[in-house]
Amino acid sequence: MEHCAACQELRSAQRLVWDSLDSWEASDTGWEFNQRLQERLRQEGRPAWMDSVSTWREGISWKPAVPLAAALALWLMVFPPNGFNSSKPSAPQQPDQLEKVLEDVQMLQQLPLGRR
Amino acid sequence: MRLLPLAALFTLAFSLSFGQAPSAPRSNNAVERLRAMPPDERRKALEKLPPDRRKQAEARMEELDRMSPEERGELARRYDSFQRLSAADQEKARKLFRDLNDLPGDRREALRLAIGHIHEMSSAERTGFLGSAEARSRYNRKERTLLQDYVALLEAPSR
Repeated sequence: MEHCAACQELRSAQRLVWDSLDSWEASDTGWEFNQRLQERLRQEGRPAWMDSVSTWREGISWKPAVPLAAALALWLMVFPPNGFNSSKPSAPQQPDQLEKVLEDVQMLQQLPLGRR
Repeated sequence: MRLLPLAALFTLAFSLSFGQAPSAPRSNNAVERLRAMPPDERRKALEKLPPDRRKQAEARMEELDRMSPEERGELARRYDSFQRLSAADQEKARKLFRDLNDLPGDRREALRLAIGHIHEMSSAERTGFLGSAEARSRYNRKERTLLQDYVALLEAPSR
């Protein structure tokens, strides 16, 4: 090697390349880049409507809806809609109330009220 | 998965609210509701009354049961009209009925017939009849007052 100038030159050039490679620092792609890459790869294999759903869901916060839904459910339990509840209207259950209705009914048998 | 408790809550609420599907349409009219009351429900409601009042109420219930569908329909229509009167007018009707029942039998019957005729008259005819010589000759002052009260009830505004 000491007597071969060409070989020395080749060695110097080779060393320069190695030193350069050793001193080169690869830039860090970071966690976010990896996530985006993986997401992109996943998107390639799914239908387009799922993208729309994902976009829609990302724009919605469900947190305010939970107390509202709970309040609505409670409201429906306490005040059920009239048309669907078979227990209403019911006949008068209190004895006095029942007696009064019967008295009124008897009165109306003999006392016609209302338009002809 | 986070929506699961919410879905469960909704299911519970809707089952409580809508779950009891009506087995048969029920009338809004008190006459039909009274008639449709199951016997044990009637007994339970009436057993708390004092014996004499209970007996009277039971007799009225039985009378209602004996009516034909047409009679019950007419009664239901009258009850609806009565319900549309103001509370004060409803009370006036009850008082009029008590006053009519306090009359002697023959006079009560005479006024019952007059009430039937008046009910069929137009508003103008009623006014004419009450002011007529015929009415003055047939009914005394107290009886005419009762008839006027009846006409006032017929003409009373509905709610």
